Amino acid sequence: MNDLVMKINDKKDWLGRQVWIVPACFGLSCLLTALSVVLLALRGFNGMENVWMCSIGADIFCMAICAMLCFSATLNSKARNADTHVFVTMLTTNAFALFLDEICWLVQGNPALRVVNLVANVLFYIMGSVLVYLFWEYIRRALKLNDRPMRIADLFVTVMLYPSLLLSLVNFVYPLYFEIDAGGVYRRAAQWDVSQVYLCIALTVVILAIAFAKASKKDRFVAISFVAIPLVNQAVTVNVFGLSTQYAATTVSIVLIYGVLFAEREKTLASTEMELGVATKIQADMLPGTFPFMPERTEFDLYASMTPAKEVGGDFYDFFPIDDDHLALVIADVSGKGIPAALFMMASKILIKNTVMTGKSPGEVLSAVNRQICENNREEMFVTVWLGILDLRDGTLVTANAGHEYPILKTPDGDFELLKAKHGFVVGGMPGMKYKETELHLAPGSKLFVYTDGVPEAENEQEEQYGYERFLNVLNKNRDARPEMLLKAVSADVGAFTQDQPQFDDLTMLCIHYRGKNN
Amino acid sequence: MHFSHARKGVNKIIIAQVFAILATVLASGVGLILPVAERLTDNKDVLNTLLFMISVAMSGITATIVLVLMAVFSFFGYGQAAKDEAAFKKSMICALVGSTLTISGFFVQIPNDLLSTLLTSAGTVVEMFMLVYAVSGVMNLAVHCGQRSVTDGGRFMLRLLVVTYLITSVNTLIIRIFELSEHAWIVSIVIGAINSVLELLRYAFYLRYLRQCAAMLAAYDGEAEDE
Repeated sequence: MNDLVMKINDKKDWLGRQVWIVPACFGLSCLLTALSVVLLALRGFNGMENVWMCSIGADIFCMAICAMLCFSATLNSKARNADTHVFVTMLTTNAFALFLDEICWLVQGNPALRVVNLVANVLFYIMGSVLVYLFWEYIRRALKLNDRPMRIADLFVTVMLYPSLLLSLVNFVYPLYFEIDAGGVYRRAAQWDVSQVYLCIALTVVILAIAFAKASKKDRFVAISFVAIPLVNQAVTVNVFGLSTQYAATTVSIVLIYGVLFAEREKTLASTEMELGVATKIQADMLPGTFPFMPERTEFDLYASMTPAKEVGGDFYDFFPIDDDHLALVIADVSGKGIPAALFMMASKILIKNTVMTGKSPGEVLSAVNRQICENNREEMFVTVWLGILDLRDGTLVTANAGHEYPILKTPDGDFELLKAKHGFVVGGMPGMKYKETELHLAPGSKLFVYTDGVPEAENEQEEQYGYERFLNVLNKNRDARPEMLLKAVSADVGAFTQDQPQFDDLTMLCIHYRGKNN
Repeated sequence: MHFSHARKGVNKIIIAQVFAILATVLASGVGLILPVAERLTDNKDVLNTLLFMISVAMSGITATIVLVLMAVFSFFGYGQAAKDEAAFKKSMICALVGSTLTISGFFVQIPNDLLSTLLTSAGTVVEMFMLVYAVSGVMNLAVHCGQRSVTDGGRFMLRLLVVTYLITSVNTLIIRIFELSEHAWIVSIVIGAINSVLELLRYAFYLRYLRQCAAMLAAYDGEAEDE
């Protein structure tokens, strides 16, 4: 039995993987609605009883609602999942049942179209069983009913669907549920009540599942409405020939389900936005943000900033004293965006700082951090890092670069220029990497500018990149400015270049002005 | 940990199942004989027909009384066992709802055949849930007691329950489909007999499984007291 349950579940999961279902269902619902209007226009209202017209009107109106709900589902492709596919399939099945109901009334009492009436009615009964089955499937997924009794209930409902469909098909050759008389008029047969048995079985399972599920009151209310509204409608209209509004009643239930789904999604979105806001604040708090940094130290002036592209970004900078004479400077860019990048960024930042504080050189630090990240990097994320350790006594700067942008250096009497030293491989990309070190000597009055790729790769409306030429120009125009003003000038220039274009990548910059020991 | 409530509850459910087997035998007898009795009403031997009908009615009444007893023992048995294992509470609810639906279905049969069909179908599903939750409850207890054989027996029981309920549900549909045909009584007897055999089989295996569970709980509680 477990094998059978697994096979059934495999088939059901197939539904969740089919991305074409939502657009196809929308197209079909629209087609059915348009076709129903055209057929009504061709047929006209001649010879129709008032109740038939009521049924047809309700059918077309509800088909349009189904099409609109399908359209709504097509809009948010990212939020689609197996549940959405089941829901949309349920909507389209309902639309198809409404269409068949309309056909039945359009050809009612026309002996020449007796066969059309027969086919439409057989399909109408089939749709009833399929719709109830899909509703069970939807409830099973929405309320996450996966325990042992529910798996058995699922097997029972699924297997019982087949004899139910078979019995509907029998009506082609034997009037089991209904007959179309010589005048082309539909009449219920003596064993019509058998047609309701599957609906009764499946809905009983649904009611029990809802009763025993650990679901919220709202979910229970919505689920029970799918049973209650059509049942009340059936009780009222069962003996009124011509008034078939059971699928219109089902549409009301589906709209109710959709409303609750929509409200739930809005709630989830609001909650996610709030969490993202908190994450942004946590990330901002993680980066050193008190300026001037170590104002008592006259050897240097330092400023840094990070403007994330999304609420939380993957870039970071860091600076901290290792001892009285050494200052560590870090700038890094994590692959990807959003929460995953921010989590990876925090882990990387802590690892780098902790390893630097052990007294290792920049190359050794990057090798050690790379080893630790590669140990459990199942998501295959990586980070580009530029790390420098500045000796504040004589301006010696030892750096190591793991796939990061070239730093920009300004000598006391010169311009800002790219410092093209050899790159190592990104941290987290491959285990066992070694990183070469480069040693520089910063003369008093030198400025070092490090940044992430968000600055040179910022794009304007024409998809032109900001580039190094503009970047170096703005730096050189402000060559005498303090680091804070220099960063603000670059930010303003990038903003002027991109204008109203949304920021694609994080903008992170760090600048240090080395004044020397005896300034 | 003790499972004394579950043990006492399961013992009551065992008694209920004995009643269930008795009721099935009596009801099956009535079900099989009734189509023949209906044909005998044309017979001119009025006295024999009358005696026959009285015996059928007596069997029916006895079966109903036994069914009510079964429902009472089941309800209290599941209720008591629910104090130790939550799944039995669901069985208790199903026992109450299932009995109500089945009895209602029986009483509304003459005024409203459609409603009777629906109530009886729903009652069958609820009864299946009652047994499924009970077997799941026993399996949960078996995990606590470390009795793998009882857990495996539970899997077999669940398989048996699904198969027998599926067959009896389809059979009920077949009886309804052929009820207006000329040979309805033959279909009714044959399918009715198959359903009765399946029901007896189901109850017999369920009874055996419950006895296994009772023995497991008695042994477990004994060990717990020794410790």
